[in-house]
Amino acid sequence: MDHHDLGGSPNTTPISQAQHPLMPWELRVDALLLCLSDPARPGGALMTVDELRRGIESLPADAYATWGYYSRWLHSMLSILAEKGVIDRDAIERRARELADAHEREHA
Amino acid sequence: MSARFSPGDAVRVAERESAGHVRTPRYIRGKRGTVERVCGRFGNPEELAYGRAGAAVTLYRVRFAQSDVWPHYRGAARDTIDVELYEHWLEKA
Repeated sequence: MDHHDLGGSPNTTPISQAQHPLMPWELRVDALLLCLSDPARPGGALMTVDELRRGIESLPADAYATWGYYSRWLHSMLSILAEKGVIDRDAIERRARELADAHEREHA
Repeated sequence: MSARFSPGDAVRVAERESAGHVRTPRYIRGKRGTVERVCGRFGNPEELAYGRAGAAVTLYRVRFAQSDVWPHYRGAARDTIDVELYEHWLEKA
């Protein structure tokens, strides 16, 4: 079964319907997808919302179940753009590690 | 190309397995409902999801009785659920 197709699945804990504030990075991920999927952008859209959904559905089951909404978006966008050769996923991961290390040093 | 179904038509959602990206949730497969409206024609998401052009297919909003969808539904008998479904997932009921 597809782990993303949850309609009708029993759940043991009630689903929280409370609103939660969005983090600035989450707003950026949303804006980035709008730019990437805009057919009017120079050169045309780099990806579609349908590809975004396919990327989200392709996440490992444990990641799908535990990651937040925009974490799933971000990882899907990275996968789709890497698949299309738009970005080099290793270079992105390397840069993310550099930034995380620099942040740690600053706040050590 | 004209729409195969019209508002008011009884339809059944295909009960079939799928691989890859589809927009037809499993809980609605095999269920009978009524076409509520024709939403228009849109690129097939099952193709668009893999970077292909996506031939235009007709999308319908189909209304189902909640008690037909959920075997142990305890709400009001008149409760319904609308699901948007592409034409290739619908059969004449």
